[in-house]
Amino acid sequence: MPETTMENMPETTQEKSGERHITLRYRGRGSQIWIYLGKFLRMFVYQNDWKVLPMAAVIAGLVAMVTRFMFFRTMEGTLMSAFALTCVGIWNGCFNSIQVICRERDVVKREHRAGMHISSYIIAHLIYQALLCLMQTAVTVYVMRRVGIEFPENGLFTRWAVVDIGFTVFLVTYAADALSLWISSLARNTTTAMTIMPFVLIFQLVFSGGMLTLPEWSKPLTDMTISRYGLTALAAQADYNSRPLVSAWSSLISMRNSDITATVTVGQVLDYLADEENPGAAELRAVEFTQTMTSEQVLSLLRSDERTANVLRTVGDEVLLRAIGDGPVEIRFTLGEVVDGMAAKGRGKSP
Amino acid sequence: MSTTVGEIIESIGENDAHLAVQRTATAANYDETYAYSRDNVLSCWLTLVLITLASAALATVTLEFIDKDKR
Amino acid sequence: MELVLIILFGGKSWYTVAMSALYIVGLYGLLKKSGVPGWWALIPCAREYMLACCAGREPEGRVTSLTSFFIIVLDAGIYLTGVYGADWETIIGAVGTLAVLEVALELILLIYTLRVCGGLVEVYGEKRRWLWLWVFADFIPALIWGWGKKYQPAWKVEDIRRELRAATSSGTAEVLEDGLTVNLRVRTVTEFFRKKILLRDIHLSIPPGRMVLLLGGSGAGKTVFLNAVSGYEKADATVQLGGRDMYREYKKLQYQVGYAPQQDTLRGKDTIYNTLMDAARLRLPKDVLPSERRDRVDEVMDIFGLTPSRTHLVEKLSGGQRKRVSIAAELISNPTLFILDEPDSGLDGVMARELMEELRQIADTGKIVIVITHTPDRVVDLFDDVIVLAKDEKRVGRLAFYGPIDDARAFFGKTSMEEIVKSINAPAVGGEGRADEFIGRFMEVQHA
Repeated sequence: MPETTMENMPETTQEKSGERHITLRYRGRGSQIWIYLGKFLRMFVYQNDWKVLPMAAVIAGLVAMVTRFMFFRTMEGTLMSAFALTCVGIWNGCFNSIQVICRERDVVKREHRAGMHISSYIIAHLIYQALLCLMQTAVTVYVMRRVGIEFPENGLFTRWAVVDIGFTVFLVTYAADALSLWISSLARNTTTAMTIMPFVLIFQLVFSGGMLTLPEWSKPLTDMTISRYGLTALAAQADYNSRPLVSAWSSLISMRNSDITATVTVGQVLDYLADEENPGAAELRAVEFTQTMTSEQVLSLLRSDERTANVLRTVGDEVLLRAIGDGPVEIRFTLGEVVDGMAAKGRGKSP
Repeated sequence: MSTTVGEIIESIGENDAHLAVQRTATAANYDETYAYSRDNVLSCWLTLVLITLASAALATVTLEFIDKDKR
Repeated sequence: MELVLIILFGGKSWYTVAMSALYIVGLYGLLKKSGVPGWWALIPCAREYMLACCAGREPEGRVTSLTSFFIIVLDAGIYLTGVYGADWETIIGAVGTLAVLEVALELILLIYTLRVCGGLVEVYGEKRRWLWLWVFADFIPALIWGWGKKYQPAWKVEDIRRELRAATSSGTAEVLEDGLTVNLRVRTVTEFFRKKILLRDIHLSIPPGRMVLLLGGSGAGKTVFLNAVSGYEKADATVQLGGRDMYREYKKLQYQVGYAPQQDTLRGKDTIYNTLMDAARLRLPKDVLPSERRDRVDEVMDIFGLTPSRTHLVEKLSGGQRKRVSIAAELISNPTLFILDEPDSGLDGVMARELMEELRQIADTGKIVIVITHTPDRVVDLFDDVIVLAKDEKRVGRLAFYGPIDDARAFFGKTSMEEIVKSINAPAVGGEGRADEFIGRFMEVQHA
């Protein structure tokens, strides 16, 4: 093989017609992707990009400590935890890539001038960021499990809910990462990018639709956020609708000693008690009362009502007294019988 | 008629009241948006993927104008 | 109709429309006096920019123009919300939000308008108290200055169309089969609503094996010229490298051109070897074997003395070493045309000399090497030719000289390159202001 020197390096010269033509081909988009991917993987080590992993662990740990007794247990807790997990994903994704392009803008310009394809550069970034997001998601989910969050057993798509939920977190992180990559490509320097970042985050959080009640006109804005879809997917996977809502009971218990005053009429009470199908009313109707009376009191009671007085006049006091005897008389009746009697009296019928 | 919330709860029975309130409140707060279904989750995943692709495309288009940077 | 009034006049009340109409009439006269077509006064947003150009405040004009645009958008939004708003609550909410934004923009517009009006006062040589009227009742000074014979601007805005139609040099450089031929007629740029001429009438041919010095004062257009020559930014020009049209075959010829920028635009967190190897993968043809590629990288590192530090990170290198890596990355592909923008900036005299000697050796292998440097005299003996660019009276970059170094000394009547630069620089920057003289003289020489 001839020694390669500057003199005999191939040049892109097209010789005149009739002579041998040399057409040299240079690396296309596909090859350039691998060159840049290799470069970014070296950056992972040299540029300390690996720091995003312990940071992800710390953030996940903080969120998990706060949400571990709520997630997958109650409705409110599930929604809040899903929102928190979405925020974790967006935060990680945004800060992964917000500076990657703007900090080397001059280098990109120079390389573009030398034949680099922008699409290859971006795709290489996307592949690298996907690996980074995958690692962050694994760390996040692992930390959450270690801190004590109990994931459901079965997932909607795979046998393990933790895998499904992890995939959602990965997609949220990656979408935020890609969005930040775009912002990084827009910004001319890192200062501009970091200035824009908080507004992007606030927009995502405020318009996520899960935590704040938003006006109707903001729905299109909500539909543009990553957080809305992340929150929805996580809450759905956590089976939000079948979790119990505990805040209603908690509110009621907190009002335990609060007075309730109500005005009811006798008629309303009687109507309530007359409803035999109402279990509460039926219970009350079955309550038994016992009244002890002397024979004179019984006679007096019978004489007080016209209908029973007629019977007494027919039968005669002595017959009744012989039947009752001299001792006290126990009369047992239920509340239902009293109510029915009063109702019949009200309708003019005999009880 | 004057009573306290606690007395009403006791008259019904605390456990029964708890279950009844929880059941009713949970049912009332059912949100179709968070339905536990594959379609629901898949549509969210697909949207996230589309956002990712759109951002990547925008980044590529934006960076193609890098030549226009002023010195 | 109301929406149209808001867009054209900034409001729909008869008072606002009347005042705006009077202002537009006055502005029409102002623009015409400054050499700008009067009809720009009729176009919202553009009129603010043109007024700023008349005041010599172009950057402020961009801000006022953009701010006016967004204010018009907000006004239109407020109007449409009021017309189509579904309920009172929505209307109040939306209008309130838009109004807050508009107040912020109006404040920005006020500040920049003050600057523009300050410039206008200077151009017309009037007292600063006129500023109050410009801020609070702009139609009054606009009418007075626009149509009053007594009020004339000290200078006029350049008429680009007239410049473009002006007779250009009919000379063309001889096309070399090998080597670089540049026939640049004009290089313009459109900024906002105005076209600017950056360069004009540069015709030269550089044979292979030449090391050429590119001289010129600050803003003369050296980098613009190099970008046009390398095909990166297209001009109205014919640039041929080795007989092939640079613009038509840019995709293929770009690998024939190496451009080392002034700043060391390298990734600091990568080693020298990896940086050069990636450059080799990108710039060498696909079918170059990996072993050949490695050999090439080793060879280039040898040339620039980078072999001992091949595993060092670029950010850990000294300024001189970083420069060498930057240049080496361009040399990897063995380009026919090698352009370097101030390769010696930040280097001491000895290192600068060494670097230039290496470039001389590269030129001696048959390459064309073009170098911009602001300290040419310490290395001028290494150069074959010099290109001198200068701004003429209309602030357009022109060719003041191209030829051998000794001929340049004779042409300018100076002994050093720095004296040549001083002679073509404007008096405002400490020069002799003789650019037009040399431009005209060289054009005669070229036509002769």
